[in-house]
Amino acid sequence: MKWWRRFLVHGVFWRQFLHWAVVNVPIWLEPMIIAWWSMFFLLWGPGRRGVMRNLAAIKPRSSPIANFFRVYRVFWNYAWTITDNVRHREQGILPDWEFEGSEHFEELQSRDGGSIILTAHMGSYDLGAQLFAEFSTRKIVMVRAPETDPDTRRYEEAHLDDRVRIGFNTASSDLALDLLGAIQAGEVIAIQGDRVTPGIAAVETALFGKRTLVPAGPFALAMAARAPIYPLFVIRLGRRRYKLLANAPITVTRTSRDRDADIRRGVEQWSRALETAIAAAWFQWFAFEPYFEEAA
Amino acid sequence: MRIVRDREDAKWLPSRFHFALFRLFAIVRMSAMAPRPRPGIIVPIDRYQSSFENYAISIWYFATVSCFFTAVMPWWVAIPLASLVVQLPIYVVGRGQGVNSIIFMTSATLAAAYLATTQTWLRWAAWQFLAILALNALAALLLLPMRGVIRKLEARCGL
Repeated sequence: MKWWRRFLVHGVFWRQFLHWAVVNVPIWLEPMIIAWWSMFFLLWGPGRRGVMRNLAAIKPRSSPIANFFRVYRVFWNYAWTITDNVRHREQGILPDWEFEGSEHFEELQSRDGGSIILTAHMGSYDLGAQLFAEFSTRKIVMVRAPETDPDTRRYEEAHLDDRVRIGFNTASSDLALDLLGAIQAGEVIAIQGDRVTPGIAAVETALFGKRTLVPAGPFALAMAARAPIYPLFVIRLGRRRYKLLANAPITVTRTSRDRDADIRRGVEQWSRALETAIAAAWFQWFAFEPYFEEAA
Repeated sequence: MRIVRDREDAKWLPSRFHFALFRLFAIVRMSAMAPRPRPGIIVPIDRYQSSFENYAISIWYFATVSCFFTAVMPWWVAIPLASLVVQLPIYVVGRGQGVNSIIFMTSATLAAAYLATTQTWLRWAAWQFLAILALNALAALLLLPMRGVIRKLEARCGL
């Protein structure tokens, strides 16, 4: 592998640099440093263009110039969330938390069987899972896409939080059976349902009027395990301040011979919840590739 | 990590602030506040938790250092260059937050002490920096006998 690949945007250098910066940058200087690095990452053309194309779909009447500045806001929020996540992992520092839809969250924690949390690449997904692990007696399994860069993958696996179990949704893995077992054992599975990893079964849906794909796995799992899906979003409200937004559960039950139609109903409910969350907090939907190209 | 649940006023606990001036302000603010319950919030206690304080200090430091840079270059070069140069000690020294923090404050204080003696407009920027440092030191002295008050405020939030 070429040495310079580690400096590419998905390369391991930036992960190591972030871990190093979190323990070395004086905290009172952090806002300025993050502002600078968010600007630096605007040089990342594919990511910038990806966010701009998504913003053009989310805000159809917006201008490209306004969207350019909005991209900065997305990068700024992303920088803060990954910093907060590493800080929690390295130094155990929690941000302030607020809850919206706490009745659904309480229900998720107190119900007898296992359940599925369906979330998106918004706010700090990792921090949300760690918070859940810290304040709940239930075990949580996070399902995530593996890093594309092998060095980054190794680095991230070596720095995993031991309070949260992680499953990587590779096409070849037999993760589905493990997850089914985990739900049956009363555990909570957290899955990101806004992006599809290549090789993973997907269902077509519409988001902001454009066709896109969402993973079919969570819905098939909910049907097989007879477990509810809780759409849950972690929204960054400000510096070290997050909101956990829990929506009413989605139930995916087999009502006819047409299994796909039952799954599609669940997907439709999820898409509407996702659309509402993204419309309200577009500045922290960390989708750096156009979301509608996968279905094209 | 210590946390307070379901109490909005806990956001003003002095223990959530780092600099003495802000801690003093937090004591006054919280003492004047009635307990404000708000179910469903978690308020951790960490001395760098306040957004207001950290944004204010960051902007103040950067603005002052940018002014100092204009002593040797035009302002439109000074602002972007200051944002980069200010970071260099972190990457060069890299000895942890505490040491880096001391290096930043000491180097800006030395620059301010020098510029305060000049006859340019920069002396005003330098004097305001030194004045705020002095005020902070004074606030730190005032805080010394107030540890009991801080403990009482914490106890009010169940800590």
